[in-house]
Amino acid sequence: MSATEMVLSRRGFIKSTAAVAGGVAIGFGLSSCSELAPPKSPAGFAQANAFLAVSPEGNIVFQLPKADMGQGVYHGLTSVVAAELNVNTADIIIEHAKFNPAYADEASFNMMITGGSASMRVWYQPLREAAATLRELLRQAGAKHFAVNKDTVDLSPDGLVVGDEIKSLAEIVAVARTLPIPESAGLRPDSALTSLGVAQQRVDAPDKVTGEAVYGVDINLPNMVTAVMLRSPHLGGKVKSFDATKAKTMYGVQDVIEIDGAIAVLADNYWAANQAVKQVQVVWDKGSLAGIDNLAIAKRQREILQPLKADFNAELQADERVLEFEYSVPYLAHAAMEPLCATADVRDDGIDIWCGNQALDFVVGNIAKRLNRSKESVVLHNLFLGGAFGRRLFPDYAIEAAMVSAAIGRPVKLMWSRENDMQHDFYRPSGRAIFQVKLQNDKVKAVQGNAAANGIYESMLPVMLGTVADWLPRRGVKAVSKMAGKSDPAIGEGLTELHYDFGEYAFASTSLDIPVPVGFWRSVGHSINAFYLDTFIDELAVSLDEDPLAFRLNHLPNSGKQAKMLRRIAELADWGNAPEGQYQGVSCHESFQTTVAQVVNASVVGGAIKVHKVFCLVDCGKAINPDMVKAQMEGGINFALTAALYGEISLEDGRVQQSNFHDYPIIRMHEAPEIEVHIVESTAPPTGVGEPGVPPLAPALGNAIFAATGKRLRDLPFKLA
Amino acid sequence: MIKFTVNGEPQAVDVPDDMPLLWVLREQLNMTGSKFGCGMGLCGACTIHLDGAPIRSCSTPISFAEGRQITTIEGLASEDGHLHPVQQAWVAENVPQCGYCQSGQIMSAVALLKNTPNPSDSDIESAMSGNICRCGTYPRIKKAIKRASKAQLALSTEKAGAVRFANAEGEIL
Repeated sequence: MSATEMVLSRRGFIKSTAAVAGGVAIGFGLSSCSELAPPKSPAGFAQANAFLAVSPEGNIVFQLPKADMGQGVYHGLTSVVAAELNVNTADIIIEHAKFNPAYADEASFNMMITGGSASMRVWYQPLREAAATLRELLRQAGAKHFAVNKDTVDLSPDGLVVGDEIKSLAEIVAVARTLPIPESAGLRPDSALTSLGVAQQRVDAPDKVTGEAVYGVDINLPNMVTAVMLRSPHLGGKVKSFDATKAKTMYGVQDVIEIDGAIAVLADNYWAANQAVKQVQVVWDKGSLAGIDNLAIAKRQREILQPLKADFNAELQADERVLEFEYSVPYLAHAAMEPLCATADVRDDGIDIWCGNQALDFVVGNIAKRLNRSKESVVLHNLFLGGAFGRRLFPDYAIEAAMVSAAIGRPVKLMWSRENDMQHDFYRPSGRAIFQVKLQNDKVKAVQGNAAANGIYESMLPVMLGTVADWLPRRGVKAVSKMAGKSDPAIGEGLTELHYDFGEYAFASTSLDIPVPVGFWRSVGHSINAFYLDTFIDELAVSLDEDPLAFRLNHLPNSGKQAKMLRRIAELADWGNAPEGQYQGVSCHESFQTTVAQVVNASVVGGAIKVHKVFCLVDCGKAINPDMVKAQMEGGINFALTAALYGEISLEDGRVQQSNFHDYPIIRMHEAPEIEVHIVESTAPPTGVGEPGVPPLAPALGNAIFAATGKRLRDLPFKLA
Repeated sequence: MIKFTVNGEPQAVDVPDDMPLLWVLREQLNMTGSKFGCGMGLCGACTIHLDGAPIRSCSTPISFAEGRQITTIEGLASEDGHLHPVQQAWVAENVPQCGYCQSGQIMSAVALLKNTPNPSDSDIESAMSGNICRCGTYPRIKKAIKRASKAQLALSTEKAGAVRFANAEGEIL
């Protein structure tokens, strides 16, 4: 296929996509579009568009535009393509797409980013379009090659149907390559997509149970050196001076160099490098967070929170009263099971990077900029991510690997120890909020909330602006710059508008001006704000002697989604009739256009909190892969339970005090509750499920703990004194 | 030279005695199925079998393996590629999400079922509590272990039945 044909096909694809997907313009809109040619399949392939091609052997090859960190796009997006093509999901060869503007989308700031539970929501329709184009191309090619009417040619799970016969796609690839890409192709009716909406076996499962799946940490190159970094234990600190005399004499050590204010120990293998790191003597400049600890953060948060916007206590009438509640959440580490790792081979003729990453633009752009190369010369081989939860949106670990490789002129695998991973994270922000309610004759008259937390977009901005502003899509930079202001949207998400009617409602948020590095953590601001809001609502109900569920329903539109879901979850969980010794708490929260209601059954015995069962109801529009929706709810609940029971990163003199799983525990199987997930039947377009299972768990559990003990826990993680 | 066997193959490496087994497998032998998670034996991602018993290879020195039999995730499936019943159960229950911890989870589960073919919930919880899954796949791991247990028990009952039948016919199998 010629380059001209490719461009035409891409335009054709974009045109049809924009029309069908309601203006979601996939594959263009990037200001630097012209710098990278559209993705091109190898010689001999019949390529329909950036996403789909057929190999000379007749295999359908799909370029997966999103990163798989366990949330399931590898299977999920492929299953959409397979359904539209009418082939088996498992028969499609899946490749992690290389960086290319064709794979960007507007929901990701016109970049190639995986986040915001956006993949299925944004790509369901465009990928159907992409598949329909390939199907049409193959039908035309079949008709031409076998000299039959196109109506008698179609794809099937068994192969290419031609009249009464089944043929291999390999037979028509050569013909397909000569045909123009169809300008339009009809989608199959929804009713024909019978492989969707039912449980499928994940296509990535076999490789993940045999050790065959390749993660960033699994790359071994010839002539490779392994690097382990020694970074300032004080966040933001840098090397003043160091002595590596002893380290350099140790087994396997090749060199010790300074890179970007930190030390890189280079050795034949990880173990040697990690042993030697412990013998490097360093004098650190503590940086801008010197002296900062948890008390300093809490103090500054409280200063920022006052005064509240309205003075509810002014001119208070005799039948009015004001209640005030304060909540807080700590910094949290992502603690993905695969510690960060990237392998870089920086050569004069090009740069190859291997890692698992959620934001390819940041990796490619930052490395090109730092090493003064063109971004065409940087090839990022994205792999499976051994968990990410937002951590792998940052490119720091890949940049480091490239810098070290450039410095020593050899391929470098830069591995983070677990301690490195935990102590040099971009943490879920610590936050604090005050909620005030004005009651008149015990009716809610007005509510105001004020929240303070580190701004996430502010933390992200240097990644985008400091090094890559000149090539990043201008709209993306502008959007993030705007968000990185005094009031970061992530601090307020889920709180700026309420589904509940509490009379007058006002909410304000302010970014904390202590520069702890923070980032996106599964469900982002919702992980904080659902806890504030649904704890507040619960205490309000209790203050007014009302049942927490009935109180919620009394303040929600009766026919709205939240009220319907709360009524349904109450039925499912048999609200009010918990098993002997167990107590219930409820929460319902919308995030990323998906709404999740949960009821937690918990007990407290001798100060020990035990979660027995979690009932979960999710409305994510049409459930494309219902079993994966359930898996994401289960995973989200357990992820949130770790945070609710244990999660806490604390600072002392700007230094993170936790280091590994002994002091940053993750829930284990004996602590994991039974989970029962139900999915709301819906014909609405699909929405994402990677994050929305997280937010309701903490408040639902806190509310259950209150029911069990009468103690209201307003700070995470939950600690019963 | 330290000599040992991995998945039935004899191996010899020339490394310091205190190098952990995990790094010998991953870096010297390029067998990357066993994963690095914590380096302190806290998370179980590196779980392998040493003479049939589950161990944390990230904190077991290679000298400990001298002359012994190691089984890793790569050695569970049969030579013709037929997955181990525990692996099959993992696939059937759609257990893996990111998948990174699952090699270790599976090695722990295989060891459990070898000693306790029909485990109770609390048997499962105590055998598996050394393995962390950050994706939270615990409910499915539990289901998969029960599924594998049933499959293995059915298989052994079938075999036992066949032996009894054969014996009644006077034939030796």
